[in-house]
Formats: sequence, C-alpha cells, structure tokens
Amino acid sequence: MKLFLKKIFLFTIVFGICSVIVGQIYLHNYLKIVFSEEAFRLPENITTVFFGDSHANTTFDPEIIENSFNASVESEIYFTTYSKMIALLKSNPQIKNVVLSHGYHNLSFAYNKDILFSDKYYSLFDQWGKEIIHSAANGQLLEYKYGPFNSFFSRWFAYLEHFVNSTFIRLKYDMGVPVNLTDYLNFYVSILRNNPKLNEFPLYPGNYRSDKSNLEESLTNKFINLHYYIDGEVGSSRIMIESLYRMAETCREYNVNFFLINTPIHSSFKSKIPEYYIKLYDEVLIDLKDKFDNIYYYDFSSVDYPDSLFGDGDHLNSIGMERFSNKIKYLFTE
Amino acid sequence: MLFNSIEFAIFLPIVFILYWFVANKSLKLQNFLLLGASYFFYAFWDWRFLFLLIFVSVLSYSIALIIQKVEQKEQKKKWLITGISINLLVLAYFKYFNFFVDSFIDLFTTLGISLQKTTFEIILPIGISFYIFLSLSYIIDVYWEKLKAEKNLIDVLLTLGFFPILLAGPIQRPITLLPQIKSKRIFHYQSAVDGLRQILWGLFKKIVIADNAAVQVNYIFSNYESLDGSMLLLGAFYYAFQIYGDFSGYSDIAIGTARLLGFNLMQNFNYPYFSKNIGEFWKRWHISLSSWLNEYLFLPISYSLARKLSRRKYFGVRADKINYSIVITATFFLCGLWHGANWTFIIWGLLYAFYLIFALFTKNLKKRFKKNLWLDKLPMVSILITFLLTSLGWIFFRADNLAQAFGYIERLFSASLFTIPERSRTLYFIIAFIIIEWLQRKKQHGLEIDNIKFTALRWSIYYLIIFLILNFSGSQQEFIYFQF
Repeated sequence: MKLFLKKIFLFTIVFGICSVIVGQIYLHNYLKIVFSEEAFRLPENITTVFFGDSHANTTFDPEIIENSFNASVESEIYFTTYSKMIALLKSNPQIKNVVLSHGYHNLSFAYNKDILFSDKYYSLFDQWGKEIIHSAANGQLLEYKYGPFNSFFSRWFAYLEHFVNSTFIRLKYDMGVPVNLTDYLNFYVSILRNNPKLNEFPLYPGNYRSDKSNLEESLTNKFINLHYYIDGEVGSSRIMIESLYRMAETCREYNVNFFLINTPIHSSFKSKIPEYYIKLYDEVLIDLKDKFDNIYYYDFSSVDYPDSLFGDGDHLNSIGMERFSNKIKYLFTE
Repeated sequence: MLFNSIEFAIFLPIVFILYWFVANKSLKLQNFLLLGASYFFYAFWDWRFLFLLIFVSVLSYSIALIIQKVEQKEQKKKWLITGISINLLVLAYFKYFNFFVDSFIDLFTTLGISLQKTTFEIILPIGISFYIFLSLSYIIDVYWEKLKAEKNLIDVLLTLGFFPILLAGPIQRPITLLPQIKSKRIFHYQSAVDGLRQILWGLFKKIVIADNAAVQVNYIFSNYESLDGSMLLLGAFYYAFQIYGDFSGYSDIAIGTARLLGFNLMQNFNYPYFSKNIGEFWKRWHISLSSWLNEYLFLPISYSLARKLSRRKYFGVRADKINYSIVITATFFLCGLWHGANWTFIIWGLLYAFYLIFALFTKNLKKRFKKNLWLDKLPMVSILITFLLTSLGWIFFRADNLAQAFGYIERLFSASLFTIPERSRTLYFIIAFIIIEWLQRKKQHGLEIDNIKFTALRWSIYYLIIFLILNFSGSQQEFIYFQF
C-alpha cells in the first residue's frame, strides 16, 4: 500500500510540474496575444463603439454609421461588457462615444446565471469582477448557475464544484497552470495555421442576425420568460446595476460620451414586459442621470416600425437594422 | 453520480482511504462502509429511488431465506415464483408500463377501436434493470441450490447494491460476488495499479471515443434525410463505437474501481468488434448479460422445450434446430425488451435472432462457400462482415422510432453510398483506437501494459492518455446504458 501511495504521489507531482511549465509558456503567449493592448486597438478613425448583447448586435450597423465599431456579442451581460469597455478605452484614446444597448432586460436577475460563466474574460476583470467570480459566499449566484438546490447535497456540491472551478480559474490565469488544455491546444493550432478563430478574442464581433421575421406569440413568450422570469418570479440584478454605474464612471474617467439606447422592440413584446422592470429601469436611469453628466439616453423601444422589420419580438432583422442605423447615424456626431 | 464527473473523482479517493485505512481491521466494517458508500452513490442521483433498491434487496434476501427454509418442493417453487413475479412487476411498472399502454392503444386503433390515452409520468429508476437481474439471479440460484441463502442482510444488500456495478453492470451474479464480499480482501499492488490503468482506459473510451462520436452521431441521425448514404454509413460506424466506447468504458471503470477495493469482477467486453461471427460477437459483447440470459432463460427454456419435442423431425426440419430457433427468438426478444421499452430495441433483438437462425440453417453451405473462396484463411473478411451486420443492428438501437430506422437504412442503401463522406477528427481517433485494441486483443483491457518494464515509458503513455482526455473530450454525455 505504501508503494502504491508513493507512486500515486510521485505521478501527481511529475504531472503537476510538467503542467506548470507548459502553463507558464502558454499563459505568457496566450495572454500576450489574446488580451494584449494590441488586441484591443481599433483603427484610428473609430470614434464610436457599440457595446451590449444581441440587441446592439442587431441594431447598429457600423457600415452605415461612420467611424464606428460594433463590439457587442449576443448574450453578453453588463458584468462582462464593463471589463471589455475598460480594455477598449485604455487602448483607444481616440474613442469619443460609447454606445450601450440598454433594455429593460439588462437589469434582470435572469442573467445572473451567466456571471459565473464569464471566466473567459477573467484577465480583463478588475478586482471587483474577480471577487465576484470567486465569491461562493453569494449562494444566490450559485443557485442561478446550478439550478435550485433541492437538497443539502446539491447545495454543498454546488459550493464544492464552484470552489473547484474557482480554484481552476486562479490556477489558470493567476498561476499559469494549464487546467484546460483544450483551449490552449486549439489556440496554438490555430496560431500555427495562421488562422486564429475570431471568437478566441475578446473583441469577437457577435453574429446574431436574422433576415426573417418571426413574431409568433410562442417565441415572444419564450424570450419574455428568458429575459425576465425565474420560476415565475421577477427580480433585479445587483451586479448588473453596479456594472452599469461602473461603466458610466469609466466613461467619465476617460472623458467620453456615454449613450444609453433602448433599442426598438415590437409593441406585442413590450406589452408583456413586467411592470416591475419598467419601474426599476426608470428609477436607475433617473439616478444615473443625476450622478453623471456625460450620459445621453434615447428610448426607441416604442418606435413604430412595421412587423417586417423585426427578426423577432425584441430584435430587428437586417432590414430593420439598416433602416434604424440610417435613422440614427448622425446622432453621435451632433 | 457519473464516473466521469468531479464528484466521483472526489468520492472514490475518500472511499478508498476510509476502506483501506480506517475500516481495514474489520470485514464487517469494510462491508458496512461499502454499503453506505454505495447507497450514497445511488442517492446522489435521486434519494427517493434508494428505497426501491432497498425494497428489492430486502425482498430477495427474505425470499431466498424462505426458499432455503421450506422443505417441500412445491412450496419452494411457490416462493420462487412469488420472488420472480414481484421483481418483474417492479421492473414492468417502472420500465414498461407506458410502453404496454401505448402498444395496446396502437393495436386497438389499428383494429378501429379508439381508446383514450392515459399514460403516467413514471421516472425510470437508474440501473433498475441491472439490480433486478441481480436479484432474480440470487433467488433462482438459491432455488437451484447453487448458492446458499445468505443470513447476513448487509452482505446481501451490498451484493445487490455494490456501487461500481450498481448503475450499469457488469451484471456480476451473486454466486461470484457474494463469496468475495464474505471473505477478507487483501490489497494487491499489481491489481490496484492495473485497476487504475483500467479506469484510465475506460475514461479514454468514454470521453475521447464515445463522447466525440456522439456529437457526430447526433448530427447524422438528426439530419439523415438530407445526408448522403456514405455519411449515413459513417454515422452507423460512429454509433457502433459510441456505444462500445460508452458501455465498455463504463465497465472498465467499474471493474477498475472494484479492483482498487480488492474485488475481481468479470470481464464484460472482450474486443467484440473482432468477432468472426454473430455467435462469437455475443460471447464477447456485454458478456455478463449474455451469460445471464443463457443461464436463466435460454438453457431452461431449451431443456423444457426439448422434452416436449418428442419427434426427430418436424416438417423435414430437425427438432433441435426448431428448438434452437424458437428459444433464440424468445431470448433475443426479451434481450431487446430488457434494453428498453421501444419497438426499436425489440427489432434490434429479433434481428440478432434472425442472424443466428440464418447462420444455423446455412452452416454447411457457409462452410463450403468459405472453403472455396478461401475465406477461412482471411479472418479479416469475416470480422468485417460481422461488424457490418452488427452496425446494421445498431441503427435500430439508436433510432428514435422504427420509421426513422427504416428511413435511415433506405437512404443508406442509395446511390449516394458511393460518395466520399466528410471526415472528422473523431474518425482518426477511432482508427487509432481500433489499432490499439487489435494490438492488445489478448489482454483484459487496452491499457494493460505491465509488460513494458521501462517506467518512464509507461508513465509517458499514461500522461499522453490524460492529455488526450483533457484535450479532446467531447461534450459530456450520460452513459447510454444508464437508461436500461
């Protein structure tokens, strides 16, 4: 038995040492390439950058709006956008306008579940972001990620799994231990082939687009549920609201205009948004405007567009995007 | 708890340490610990069904004791039938209730009688087919006096609920497991090391082979109507390796885990895709199930029928051939039904019965044919034909319904079969895997490399496999056989 345990120990140690060596090499290169200031540098003429989720993705066309870049990605939450925004502003002093799609759903607690999945951007997070990722003390976040805790075991295993994941993230990014070799290997292969995949970079532009129009009630209900409800309940996200304030603060620091745009949604969709969120949204907005003088807010959520311009209840399709982008293209230069 | 989960990676070392360092002084304590660990392992999925497992185990324990105690043969038989019936009723209720209701409704609808459909949302308790078979085996062996009824309840509970084999086998019959539970286990260094190797190999088969193949299979089976025949052929090939990697991988992990704890479980897969005929395939595939079916179904029915078939020939066909045909059809019908409450499984089973009956009736012809075409000197041809026949069966096994299975086969055998299919990384993995298995085919498992004396080389192989598991894992899938 002693020999068996000794060999297991030795095997693990050798594995650990090799992993750390490989990991250090990886981190040095990977982070240098993917999260370098260079990776965030935009062309000199870009003065307006769009941020947000699929709503920004399907609303702002950088080919129509001059000197702009759309950095939004579908399903991106404010928590992630905040870190990405800092990195972009740091690398691009020419940016004058930051435009964020700001819908009612962005403050919803339904997206809290994505917070603990945001480790891809870990290297970009500030101390606040990192603490949130590691904090298992916030049991609610774990419950969003792992589903409702039905038993003592499921709760403690969620905590345990989070602890393991959190340790893995620390090992990977803070200490350079290669805990997920798949990412690294795929990345190196793509570098060797001189064809890194876009989505390996934090500035990967999303591709949530639709050429069709589907306003079926079932789809609308699906998105309403997805955005606003957890088990029939409504609620706000403290972290998303905090992220929004931090974005406003960042824009002020960098002396750029911060545009908040409530993008077009179909009337049938808007009518189903719970009153709770509309009230919350207004309260947060009033407070933001009081605290920051660099904020410009535009509400297009009630814009009277025909059905054919909507991809679904809460997104424009490509025709709608073109029409809308033409409508607002001078907004950021005025 | 899945074998390929973080939970199990934490669970197993804890059990190992407690088992060998804390409970090692007393066999009773070790068994008690194993029983607790087994029930924790099972309850981790759904604690409510733990009571069902305990109920079935206590029932078998009690009935076996009664069978042994009563002296009259009639009484023994009565208790045996009671035990078998209750076990089968439990299985039928949880596994087949909705299937039978649906099938009866469909039958009446075909006859023009419309019935209102009332099915219940019955959750299938994981591993039920496995522990019910163990339980049946225990009662029948006691009845046949092959095994003495065990008085120690803990030992019986552990025999029927031992965690490595609880969810998906091997169906380690109590006649071989119970004596191991009752005797003191000694830690063997070589056995433990090889157990770890077998676990590693099982994880490789599951995570690298099966889970990657699953991605391809899901895509191909979902879009079979728009894909070329060659792609569908590849889909059947992928599925053959998905199910093999998945199930034999599970068995390897189970056997390896048991070896770490000082138990020896039976080999469940013996490189089945290198079989030269279907009969041999069933001696190498899911050995614990096929030997169970042979012991408790095929042979008893066959003996019983042989007594009834008094004439030498019927309709010009030898009675033993008729006997074999009937019994093999019944056995494979039940084998299909055991796998799941779906007609696709039943057809899959019957297809094997057809293969075997066909082989029996064409035995002489095949011999001549093989000799004339010197096929007996080219075993690879027989292996390939057997593999293709097996893969055809897997199409039924994988399809959601019969319409999909037949649609898939129809499209497979179209002109587009002769096009070049899209290849994926998974294909190269499978080819490499086949080569390794071929080279290791005389060994218990693919990673039995204790003949390599150079430690650094052996360790490098282990690291390489760990590296492959970490790098090329497919999307995590539940083990296929859990549903059975």
